[in-house]
Amino acid sequence: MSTSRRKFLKWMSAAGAAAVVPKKARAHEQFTGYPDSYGVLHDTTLCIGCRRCEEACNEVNDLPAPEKPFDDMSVLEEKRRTDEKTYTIVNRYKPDGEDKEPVFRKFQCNHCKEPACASSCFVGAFTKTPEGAVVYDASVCVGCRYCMVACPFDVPAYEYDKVLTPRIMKCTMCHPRLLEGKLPGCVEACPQEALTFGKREDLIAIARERIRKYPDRYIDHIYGQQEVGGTNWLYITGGPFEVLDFRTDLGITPAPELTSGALSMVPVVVGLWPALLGGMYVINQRKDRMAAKEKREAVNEAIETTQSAADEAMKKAAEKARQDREKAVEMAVKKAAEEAAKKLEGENKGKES
Amino acid sequence: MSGAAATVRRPLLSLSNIFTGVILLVGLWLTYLRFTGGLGAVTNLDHNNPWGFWIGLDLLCGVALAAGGYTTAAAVEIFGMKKYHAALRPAILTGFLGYSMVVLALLYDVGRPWRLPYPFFVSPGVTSVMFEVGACVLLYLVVLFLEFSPVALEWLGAKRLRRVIVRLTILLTIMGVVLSTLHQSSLGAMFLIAPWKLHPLWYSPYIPIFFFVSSIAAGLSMVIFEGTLAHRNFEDKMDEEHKKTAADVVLGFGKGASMVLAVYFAIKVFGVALDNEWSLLGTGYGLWFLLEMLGFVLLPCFLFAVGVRDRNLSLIRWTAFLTVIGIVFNRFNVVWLCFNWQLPWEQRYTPHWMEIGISVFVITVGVTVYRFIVTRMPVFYEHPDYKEAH
Amino acid sequence: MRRAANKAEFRLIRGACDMLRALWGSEGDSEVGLPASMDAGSPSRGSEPMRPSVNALWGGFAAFVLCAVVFACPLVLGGCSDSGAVEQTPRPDLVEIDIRELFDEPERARVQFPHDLHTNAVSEENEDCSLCHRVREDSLLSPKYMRLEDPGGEELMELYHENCIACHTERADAGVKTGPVTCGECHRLDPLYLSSRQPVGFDHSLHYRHGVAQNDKCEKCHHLYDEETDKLYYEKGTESSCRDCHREETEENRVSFKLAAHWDCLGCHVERAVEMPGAAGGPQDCAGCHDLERQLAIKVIEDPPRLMRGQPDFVLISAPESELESSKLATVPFSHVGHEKFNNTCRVCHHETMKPCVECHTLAGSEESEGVMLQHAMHALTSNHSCVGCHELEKSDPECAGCHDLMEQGRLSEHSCEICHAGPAPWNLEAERSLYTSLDDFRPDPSEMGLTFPVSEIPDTVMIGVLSREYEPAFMPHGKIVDKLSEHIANSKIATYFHGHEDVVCQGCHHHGAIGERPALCENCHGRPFDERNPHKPGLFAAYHRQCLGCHESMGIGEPSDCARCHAEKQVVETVTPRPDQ
Repeated sequence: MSTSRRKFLKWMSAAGAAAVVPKKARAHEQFTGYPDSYGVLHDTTLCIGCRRCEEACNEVNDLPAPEKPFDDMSVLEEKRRTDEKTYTIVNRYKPDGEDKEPVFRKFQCNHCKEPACASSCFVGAFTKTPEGAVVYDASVCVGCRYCMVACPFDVPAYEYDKVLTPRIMKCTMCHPRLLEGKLPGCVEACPQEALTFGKREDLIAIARERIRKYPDRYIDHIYGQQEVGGTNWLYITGGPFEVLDFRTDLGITPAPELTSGALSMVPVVVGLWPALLGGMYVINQRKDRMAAKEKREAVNEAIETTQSAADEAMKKAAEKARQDREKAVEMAVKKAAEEAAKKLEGENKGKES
Repeated sequence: MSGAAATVRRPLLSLSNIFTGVILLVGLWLTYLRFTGGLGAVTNLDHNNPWGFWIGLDLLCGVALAAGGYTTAAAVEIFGMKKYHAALRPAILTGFLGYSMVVLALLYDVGRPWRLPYPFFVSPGVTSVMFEVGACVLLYLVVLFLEFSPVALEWLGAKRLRRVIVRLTILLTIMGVVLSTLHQSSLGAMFLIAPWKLHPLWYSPYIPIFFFVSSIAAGLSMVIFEGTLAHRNFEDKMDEEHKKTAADVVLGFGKGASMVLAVYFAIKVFGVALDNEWSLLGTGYGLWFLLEMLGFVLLPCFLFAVGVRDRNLSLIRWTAFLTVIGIVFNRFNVVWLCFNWQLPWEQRYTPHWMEIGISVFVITVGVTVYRFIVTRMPVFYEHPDYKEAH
Repeated sequence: MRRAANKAEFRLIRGACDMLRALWGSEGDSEVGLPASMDAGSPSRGSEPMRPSVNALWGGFAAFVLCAVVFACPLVLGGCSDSGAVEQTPRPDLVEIDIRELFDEPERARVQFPHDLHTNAVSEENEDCSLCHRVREDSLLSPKYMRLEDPGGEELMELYHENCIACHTERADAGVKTGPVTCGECHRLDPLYLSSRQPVGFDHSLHYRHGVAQNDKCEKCHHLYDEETDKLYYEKGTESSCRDCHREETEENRVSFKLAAHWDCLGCHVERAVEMPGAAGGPQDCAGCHDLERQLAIKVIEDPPRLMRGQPDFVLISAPESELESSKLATVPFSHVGHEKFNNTCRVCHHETMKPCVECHTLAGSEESEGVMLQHAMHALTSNHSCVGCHELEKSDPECAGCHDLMEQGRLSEHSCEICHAGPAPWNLEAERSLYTSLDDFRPDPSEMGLTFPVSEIPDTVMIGVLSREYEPAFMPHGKIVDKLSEHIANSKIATYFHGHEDVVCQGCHHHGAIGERPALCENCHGRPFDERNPHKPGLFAAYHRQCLGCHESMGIGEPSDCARCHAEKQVVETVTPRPDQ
């Protein structure tokens, strides 16, 4: 395959130029979230740990009955997490000491604005709905469990014990009920309205107002407003968030942004590598050819030189031989002449006597 | 010159075959358990630790160590280093079988393996790094299959088809490097989405580059390592050229691995400096990191260099083994030992013996197929009918 | 041995050099580009050695050690500061000797000096403070160590070193347990002691006791300063808190409060100690005043007699005289004598000076008040100097918190203005002031004051069944609750004052609505939850639970999760009918 240097340079520059041209940000493509999406505000200062939310969730979602009934408060002695039979749990904390009032906190999927699970799922099994809920489609799930790795809150649980139909199990914000205009099961059941349902932006306003009205009661921060790009489940508490098992080291970068950089390198590699590697291959081929050619020429030259040297030698030898012959002839002639002269002299002498 | 030298007798009921058979039988039984009892029956995976031994060993290590395929192909075909030619076919074979075993292992690990084609044909999730990994691995498996097919075709005597495929060599090689770059780096990029779960010394925005560069070193070392084992067990199948150039391969790849490991060490240091993590080096995890960097990166880098300088093939071979262990060490650190590092110890994961058993089974399947192929097909020797091709 | 060491060194260095060369040298391998047939070297140099070369091992070891050292530095450095944390004993007498700011490049840490330890040692040797503290011109002891004036950094350092170490050395030679003499034992990186010093102040009880001890000669402690004559003098009727003049830092002509307190207080105690042994004349050691336990052991006089400084019993609080014409709001009758009992010191209200509030806090604020207006000074909700701020604190008492916790904080109630502003109008004040002499002139007739409506109007039991579905209706002991709350109010003077109207206490639960004998029911205003038109109003279900349970929680009554306490579970649950509030 013969390629001229010019052509090669043209390919390289084209590939390079394509790689560095920036993508113009088109205004209508800047998506800031569904405007009317709903959310839930959890006010942990109001939670009394009665677990009616857990019970309602279990009922509404047809989940299997738990080992201990929902009015058994002894389960609160241990910290629990969501599992494949439990979409939500309430944990008890005693931040002020054993003999002071405990604090309770409900834990479930936070329905992030830019969910890590949805971003990480390679079959698109998760969808962020316009209603705000992040829902899971078990009909395409392959069971790779990358969503469990990706979730910053460690929410999704997997049915490891099922063989043919293992699913990811997590809170759905009762999305089907939302579509019917009903409230999520947990929200409806809470006697204290520790869970407030409404549009996310309204909930933030409500939370701000509560904090303003009762500054001694709340920490001035709405958890979920910005964490990992914002979540639709918001929290306000009376004490430090870490004490209630909220992760405060998550940052505000939404999860998809964490991998979009790496993914954007794909077209670059696919564009540049063939050009680079093809170029190197071509260079090496050319080098090989050049080297082979030089070798051939060197061999030819060697042959020529040897040949001419041999001819030269032969010529010399021939010349010498001729000269020798000439000399020999000369010598012979001379000798003959001498002999003849001698003979003549002898004859002349005989004639005289 | 004929291909094979005096053939070694390989009885069916040899010790190694019996050993292999036992593993295969146990593996089949474990397979039965897996597909009748679900993942919970054979693994210790839980909701906090969804990825464990299989992802660590079979997937991450398997893919990294099968990188010999693309590195050797790139060296021989693209960079024109023809003297490593003898290593090309074994490397491609190792690569092909390696990736095949990765897919086999995935069939166990994934919840619904029959749905593995879904991301490509039913519902692509293109925002996912894993989608990219899957697509690239799938395509690369096809590439490897095509790159390997001449070997089988020579064995089967399909001349014309073989000629067609051999013409595609350079294209396949380039595609192989492209696809390998993408999926080797993306296996690391998968962890970008969970910065809070991976220890800061192993997490870096440059994880994809770390994984890619280390895969090159892994590939080069694996070729040396596999070559060592092959020479020990299948020397009778090797032709003169193969045996003659073996030392070249070891020296050349050893030098390459040394340089790559040096580069890898440097960029890892950059990674620590970038995130100003020096003070973490004084912690327990820090010491573990130093062990990985000094013992399994810097040390083999140095030993490779010395081995090359002294033409000490034995040293290079042992160092290649050390590097392979180092890659396994690194991948295990990323996916298991330094993952979820903030969880209390009671909630951390340890593999079930059945997980280890299935991994051993998968690897044994690969090794068995390898043995089948190299004892019958022209991998270590040139087929007499196709001598002109090389 | 030397030879062996040299040999080892030689191998290390050689190995390291070899490594570098090996990495970047080209030792006879073929390079990219040369045709295979022309490659220069084939490794036909015969046998492969059975073990790696010894130089390689040494070189590798060298590299490992080098890198280990390089990487171990942060390990060591990072670890150093945390390790070796010594158990810190808390002491109230810690003096931090820190003159590092006098040096460009200080080399050592500050020194923690346990003062009481030293005073004990000094007294054991029958010496006194003058061993370390020089006497000043005015015959007071200088609080500085071994000096009256501060010299430069080096000199000062030498002063400390020479004297401290000399004393320690002497006593050590004498076989007595004494302090350290080496650098690091005083200049410790990890502190040996933790300061447990408690601030100490005068309250009425302590002040009374001091007054008695001084035979009520106020001039012993209280003074004023004459700038012109540069002298201190006493003027009766001007006594105030030391802190009114003596601030945190020593100013040009005025020492800091800390210095003033130690000079005067300690000085006097030391004087009295001559006649009254031990601590009977007042504590002379740090712990005596600053140790928490010793503080708690100080004798407290219950109900000391009133401190007479010429203060009024009763005041009509108004704008300052110059502004009386322009102020409009009714004045506030204020019982000064009554309020004196509520605070331990005068400084709670008279926080800068003993002058009346309005002298600095004018209507618009002044420079003296740093711009704080009279309105703000009186009504600031979060300041304990202000009237309203102090009253707010009462609301968090468990007997009051049941209602008050649920009410919005941070806002003044408009209804309580007239309870305080009940005095005469300001513009006629001069003429009318003499008419009023005590709070009783303004207090309503107790018989007219009703805390609640007549009992006959208040339901005894209220059945709450509007939401009854899983549980039986709740029977709320309404009368009992009202009685209890009324009892609490009656026990508190301030509560009585502010709840003096019969419909006030009802608003604890019957809030945000029309008041009167027939207040609205909860369900009249609370309906469906999450109503966008009323985003801050809970639904009826939560309204009941939050109000009831919230009150119980604030007052510390009952177990919130014990649902059956208020309403029994129904045996048969009608789940078909939706809840009335849905």
